[in-house]
Amino acid sequence: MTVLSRPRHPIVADALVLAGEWCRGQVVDGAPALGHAVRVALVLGCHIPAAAPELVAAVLLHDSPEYAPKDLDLDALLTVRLGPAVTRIVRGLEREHTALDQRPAPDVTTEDRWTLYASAADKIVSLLSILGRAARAPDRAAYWRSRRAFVDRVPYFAAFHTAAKPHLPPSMAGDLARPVVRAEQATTLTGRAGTNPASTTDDAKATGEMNDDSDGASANA
Amino acid sequence: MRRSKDAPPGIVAAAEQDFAEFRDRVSLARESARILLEQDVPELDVFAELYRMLTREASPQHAAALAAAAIVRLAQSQQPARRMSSEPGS
Repeated sequence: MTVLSRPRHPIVADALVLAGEWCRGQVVDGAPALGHAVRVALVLGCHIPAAAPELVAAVLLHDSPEYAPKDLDLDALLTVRLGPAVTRIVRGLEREHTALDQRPAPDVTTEDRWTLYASAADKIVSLLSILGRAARAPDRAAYWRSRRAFVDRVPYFAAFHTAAKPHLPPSMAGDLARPVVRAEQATTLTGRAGTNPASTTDDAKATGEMNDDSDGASANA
Repeated sequence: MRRSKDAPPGIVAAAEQDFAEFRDRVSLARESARILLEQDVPELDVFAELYRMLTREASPQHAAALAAAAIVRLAQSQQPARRMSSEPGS
């Protein structure tokens, strides 16, 4: 059983339909955009098996500001159809994506645990995807040189993990620490002076998950 | 040289541990694929999604282990219900 297994809560079922409609034809990294949303929801469910339907729905729709039709009143639709909590989380993640591009350090809202969980799950999936691509690149150093924007954001991810860790389930904190450490190590090796990864490394070691490279789908299901 | 049909205990233990992990990951990948198909994502795109996932594994061995776990699960799901050893005539 996963958070997306049938029978689904009506809110989750409705969110899946909306995500399917809005992601149709959208491709991310050579694969259907809906696949990313589903992966993030499944990762969330690995760590929070009893996640509220609103949280699962919001995760499925976390990229809806990008994919929903532009003439749509997204906030009104999400609030009426799925509830205000879904709108809050979706917009919270959107703000965080914006902050990622604009600020050196995250403004982590630990008071809103649902948004924090959703953000952590999104980062686990995204980081593992990028690291996996790097691992298979014929020339890793060249790969990282071509990903300056990501390399510059690695300290942000580390700071996010540090701030979020006390508020996340331990398994989730560990699964987030692992790719953050690998990103720090990989990008430091390419000549970039990263942040001190010691605390994150310790956290990842404590979970015993330093050497695996799943696609966000850990063995915690 | 001593030969044995049985694998060394360490290998069996490692395989048991790895299989459990990869089996769980196969379950999640299957769930993901099922949901995409259910949402009318074309089969070829679902294949692309899974292919992308497998090519992102840290090593070809990881990808092979996932594939092996998937084949075992597939074979198990197609197997008729096994007779219990306590059944009459067993």
